[in-house]
Amino acid sequence: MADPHRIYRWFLRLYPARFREEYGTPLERQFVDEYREIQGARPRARFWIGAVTDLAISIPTEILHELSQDVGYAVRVYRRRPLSTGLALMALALAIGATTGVFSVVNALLIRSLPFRDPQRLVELQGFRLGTPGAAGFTPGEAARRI
Amino acid sequence: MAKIKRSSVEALLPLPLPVFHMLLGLSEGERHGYALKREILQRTGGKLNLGSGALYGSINKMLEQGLIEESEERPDSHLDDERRRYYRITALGRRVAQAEAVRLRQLVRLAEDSLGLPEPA
Repeated sequence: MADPHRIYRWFLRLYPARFREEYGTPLERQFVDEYREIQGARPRARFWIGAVTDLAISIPTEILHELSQDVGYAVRVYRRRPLSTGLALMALALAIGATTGVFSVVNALLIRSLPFRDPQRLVELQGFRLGTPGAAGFTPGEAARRI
Repeated sequence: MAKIKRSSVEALLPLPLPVFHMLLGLSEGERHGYALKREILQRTGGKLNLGSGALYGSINKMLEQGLIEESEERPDSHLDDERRRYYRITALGRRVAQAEAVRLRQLVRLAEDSLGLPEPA
């Protein structure tokens, strides 16, 4: 059977780095202490269910907590520097606008299909003389058959 | 170390039950996380069994709010485990716990007036 301590340590890696650095060691220590006190397969299974449930609740809670702290910090920093924030937003808006414009052109010219029925059957014939293959490499008779 | 963000007493009420129990435990002296958990378990007759993640999540938040702080003092070396961290209640933490107790007392009085609570057995 796998070492329970190692399994629990693996789960701890799912916590945000800051929380793990701060509390990883006491969490591990507490797990070892509690696990050692429990004897028997059933109580240990119950203990594992409790530990995994606790992790399943507390890991997302800590991730959200850190995320909200980071967002709050970013908002505070940007609010203190309105000029650079405005410039960054303007650059972002221009970049998004330019990308959208280029994509619209590429989409209309290259990606979207032509406004005809069965556009894959459309061919272009040009500059050929009777008896010699034309630009498409067909004689007129071959070209007519292929169409 | 967690950043400390001082908060006003009123803004922190009502306290989550585990936080109130942890403040009560720490008001009697410094404790490490596991000792707090065991004390709460005993105090509530086994009804409030905090998981390790919930326990240290609450400790982290309480440190940020300035309700508790990490203690530098350690027990005797033969009793100590260097990996353990000890915490103590701050003056703000004590005021918040008192305010929460007053809030709960008012709530119980209200319930008593409305429902007429039976005497404890």
